[in-house]
Amino acid sequence: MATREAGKKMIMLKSPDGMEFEVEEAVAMESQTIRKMIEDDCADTAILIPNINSKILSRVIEYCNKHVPTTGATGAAASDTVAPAALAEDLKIWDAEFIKVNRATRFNLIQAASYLNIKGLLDLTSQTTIDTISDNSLEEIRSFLSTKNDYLPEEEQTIRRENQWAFQ
Amino acid sequence: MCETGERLYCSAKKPKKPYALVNWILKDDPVPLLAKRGRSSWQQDDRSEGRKRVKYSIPDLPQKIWRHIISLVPMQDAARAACVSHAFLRCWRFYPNIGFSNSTVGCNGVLTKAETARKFASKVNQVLKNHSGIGLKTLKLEFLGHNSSDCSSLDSWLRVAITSEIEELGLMLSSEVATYRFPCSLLSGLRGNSIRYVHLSGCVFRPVVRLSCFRSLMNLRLYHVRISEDELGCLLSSCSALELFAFGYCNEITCLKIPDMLQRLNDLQVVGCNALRVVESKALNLSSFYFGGKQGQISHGEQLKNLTMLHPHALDNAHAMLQTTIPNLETLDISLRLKADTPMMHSQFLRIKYLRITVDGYAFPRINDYISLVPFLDASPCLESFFLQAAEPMEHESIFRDPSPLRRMPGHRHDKLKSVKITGFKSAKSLIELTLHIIENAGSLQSLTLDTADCSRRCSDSDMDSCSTLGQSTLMEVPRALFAIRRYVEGIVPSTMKLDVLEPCARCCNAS
Repeated sequence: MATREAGKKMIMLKSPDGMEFEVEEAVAMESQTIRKMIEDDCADTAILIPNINSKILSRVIEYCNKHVPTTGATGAAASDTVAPAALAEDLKIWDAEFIKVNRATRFNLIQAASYLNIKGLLDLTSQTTIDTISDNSLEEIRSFLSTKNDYLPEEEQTIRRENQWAFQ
Repeated sequence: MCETGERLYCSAKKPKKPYALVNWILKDDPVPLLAKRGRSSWQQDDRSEGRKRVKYSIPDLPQKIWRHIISLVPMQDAARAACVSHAFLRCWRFYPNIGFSNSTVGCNGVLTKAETARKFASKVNQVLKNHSGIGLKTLKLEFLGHNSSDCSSLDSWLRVAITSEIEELGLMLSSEVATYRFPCSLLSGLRGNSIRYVHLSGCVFRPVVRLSCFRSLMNLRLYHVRISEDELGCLLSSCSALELFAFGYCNEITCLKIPDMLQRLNDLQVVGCNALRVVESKALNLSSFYFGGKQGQISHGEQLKNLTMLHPHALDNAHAMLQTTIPNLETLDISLRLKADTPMMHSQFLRIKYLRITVDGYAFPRINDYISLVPFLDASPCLESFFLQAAEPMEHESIFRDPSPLRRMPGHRHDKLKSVKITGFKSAKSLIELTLHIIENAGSLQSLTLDTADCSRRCSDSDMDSCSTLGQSTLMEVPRALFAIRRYVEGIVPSTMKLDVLEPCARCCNAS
């Protein structure tokens, strides 16, 4: 149920495994998907988030809590006293810690971020995969991403020839 | 990789709206390059995490997300990754930002010009021919050394790129040829208005009808483009959202007319148009004009706030422009030759806060009298920052060769001046005189930087492997300049002023 607590509007998010999370509306609105629902007046009761289990949803909420702008309506105190550069640096360190998870969790977070349309979280969670693709050989990429080479030999030859320039 | 397909909806009782926003990740791929595997079981997968993660160590991601991730990988890496598996190839076929230059395709200088061009054409051909044509947002091609036989290839590449999704288009061809005729029909037939940025160089561009696809274009750059005044007029009248227009090295235009419908245009840059006589701007919000030509006027320039004129003769030829623009200018960046009388010296720059003067090296007689810049400062009562780029040193100007007393310019105050930087500082007597004049007459001056080698600009970027080499005359001059600062300047700097003296770094000296 959407409730009010200390002047802040609260939103209830439900995961498909039955867990409920009460979060500030501003925090939930870090998700553009949820923001649109709230703006469309489609969220007076609990919002069911299919496909995102409670473990991942709680991590997503943790991320949004940290990244919600700390001025204005949410009324957090930090931004008045801390310089923006210091805040940004603090967030960077926090993000680096946040993303220290195993691949499965990271991929689930990517999917959740995409699903809920949270750009910052999608960028953060995708970066490790981007680096993996940029920094490694084909065999290493396959191994790191648990992907099999499904080319027939002649197919592989063709595509190798086509993209030879990229190996130089 | 496979598609997941549940819709997110809210649990309000009525109406139970299915939520459309997430559909973008659920759409089927229009180009079936892959055999689909079964539906993703990533939820179950996650639940089993920690107990047994043997079968699926990572969950699949929908193709759309993979495409998003690959779109963030640099182009060359994404092309390489296409060889990992069909799924990666599929992402590569939708890659949004294609950009090729000779260096991208591995033309490293050992090939002849013709071989380089052939190799370039072949690579770009392969990539664009195989691209799905969907999702391409940026195409930038820097194709040097092309010849007439490449024109049909260029046409075909543009046909792939110019769709209703394209946002940025850059076609940079060799300027000396300029024979390729850009296929304007591709633009005139285009629906949508996604194009934000267009950069054309070294081609013939002759739009004869208004291009409705340019109605959201914000940034237009045309260099070495063959276009007539009428055609340019037609083009500009299509670009009602334009914010920046850069136009250079076009000798067909004598009058550049900026129509009043360009309400958002705030930045106009014109360089190297030898035939140009006048810029007629009716754009009400034009605030910055960068002029790199020798002669040219801007009419209706009253609203200009920033003016840059880099040709040392531009100032002499710009009387009319200065008459209208001077009252409102806040930033002025000019190049000039020091002489007894320049048109600016009789003017008042009432709003100028930032003044940058580059002294051109060819002085006649062969001496630069820097103290003649004092009237510029005097005419700028609001000036806060003054940046002077001194000319190359000439030994006979040195204060150590001229025993005559230092000249003073009494009666001038520069009370708003807070920051002064002189780069290429040397021991020239008149430069010392100017420096002393500023110290003595700018009571609010907080920061004075004397850079003997312009070294900070060369070396501050840590990515650079080496410094530019300094000229022999500059290297010989540096000790004299430092000595002059110690003897004449340091002693009179008040405690409220911070003096920074910059020397060439070790890398500069070694490189030289």
